[in-house]
Amino acid sequence: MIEAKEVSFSYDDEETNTQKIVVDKLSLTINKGEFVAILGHNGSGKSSLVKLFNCVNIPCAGKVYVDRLDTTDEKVLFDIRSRVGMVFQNPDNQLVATIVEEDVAFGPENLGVPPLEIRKRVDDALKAVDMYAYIDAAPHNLSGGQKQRIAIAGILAMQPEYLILDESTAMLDPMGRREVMDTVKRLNRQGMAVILITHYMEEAAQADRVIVMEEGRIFMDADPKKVFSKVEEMKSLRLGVPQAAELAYCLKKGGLDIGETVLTPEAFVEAFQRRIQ
Amino acid sequence: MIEIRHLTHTYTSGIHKTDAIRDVNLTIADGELMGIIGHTGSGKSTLIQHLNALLKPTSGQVLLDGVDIFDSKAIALKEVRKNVGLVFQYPEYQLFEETVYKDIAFAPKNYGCSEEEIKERVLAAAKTVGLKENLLDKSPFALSGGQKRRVAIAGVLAMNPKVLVLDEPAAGLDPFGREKILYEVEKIRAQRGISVVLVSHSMEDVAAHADRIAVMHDGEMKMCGTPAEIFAQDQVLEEMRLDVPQITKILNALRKMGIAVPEDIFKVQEAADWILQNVPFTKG
Repeated sequence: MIEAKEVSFSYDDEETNTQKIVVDKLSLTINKGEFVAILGHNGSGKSSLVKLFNCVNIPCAGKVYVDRLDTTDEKVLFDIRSRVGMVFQNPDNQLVATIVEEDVAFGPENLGVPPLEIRKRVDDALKAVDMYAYIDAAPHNLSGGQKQRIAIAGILAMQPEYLILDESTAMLDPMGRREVMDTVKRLNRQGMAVILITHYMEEAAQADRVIVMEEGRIFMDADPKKVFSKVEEMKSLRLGVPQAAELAYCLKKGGLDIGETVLTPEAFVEAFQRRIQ
Repeated sequence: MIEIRHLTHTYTSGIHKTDAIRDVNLTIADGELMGIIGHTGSGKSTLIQHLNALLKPTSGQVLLDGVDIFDSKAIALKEVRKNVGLVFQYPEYQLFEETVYKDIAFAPKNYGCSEEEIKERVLAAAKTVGLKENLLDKSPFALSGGQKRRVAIAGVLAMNPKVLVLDEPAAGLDPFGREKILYEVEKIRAQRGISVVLVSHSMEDVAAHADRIAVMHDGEMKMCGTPAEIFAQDQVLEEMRLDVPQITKILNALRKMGIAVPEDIFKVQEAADWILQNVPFTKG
């Protein structure tokens, strides 16, 4: 369980010589095995928040606990980092080795895992992201989606409880995005907690829970259907809703209400068909 | 107008030769907004780097208003770069000046414009991309991500190019920032009547904003046509690691139900308006 208790984070703004508060007395609990999407416009504090979960950011007030470990306690830093893994946006600057398997082994090697165990973890991790066939490949020959899956495998090899993706699909082509989303959904079904930051509303709609941030605070925290039924609120926060939900909303305003909030084309078509018959 | 003729670029590394692009042909008219889509590594970036002569082709030509841009006797490289503006991915990392004004003024200054002319161009470019005048004296590094990106685009616009090439101008922006940048790209095209090339991984964005779309796959241009023509090929696109917009998936399903939604609708509001006018339903 990740618990944020009245946590704040700020940094020095050199331009104005003031403290800029980016996470503001925020409280939040994320349970093991959950699939949570975090939405918010650029600068709303999403990345700063999740970096508090694995000690990249240290709170300036309040506390964050990961499985009851205090993130301000330096003695448990490695323990927390191996529980909470993070994949970033750019597939080209988070792979460190020249061969896929060496890259995936980097994390457990640094944690001092015995060689035989590393071998097993690397194989398992690559199988879990469906990249085992590329075990000897050079990362630079892979597509963006494949590179991101190798980055995820590198995290899995540390056997974390929580996987954070900070806009990890932003630079990928449509197939690359699908590959990464399919991979994280599969890992989640197998018990991994997933925390997904994204600007693609269609991706957030696939989570079990959506947290919407604004000005360093939580503006909404609910299931995707509830969040994406608030079309005007989402737009006022510089966000959006999946096109299926937006179309349903536009029709409703024009007098054609197809019923419940729909998040996918399939759900829209089904509800639409029922309504016009 | 920019014409790409039989363009091939072969990368050589040791004894290996790879065609990054092979025999690409494409004409982009003045005032046209051309979208380019294709999977990672399909050759999009290699292609657009030829448009302002950053790369030289192995064979083939690029003609700018009929002049071969690789023929140094016909046109100086400096002229080519002035007329074809290229905005790279994440251009906000390329800002370097002390103020927004100086950053936008960099190119016209280098091209020897007078102070007066520079000022005129900077103000016009800033206005086109929606930057308020009070930002011009600020450090570009004090701006938000979306604003920085606008400064970078304004810096290229200040050269008054005839062709503007944008590589993923909306990547990494929130939905509002995304829509705003794309609206500004359309505005640039409309106000200046120049050719605009928009490279994107978002099918929704190119469908809603491009006049025509070129599809790159494994170094070749496989298709080129209106959004309606391109996104009618949903299976072919999926085989090419691409997709169709969500709205198109919905409208295709309605078409299968016998509802004759026009093929050229890609904006959600337009789709809703059409359905409300043409599909009989009982209110409530």
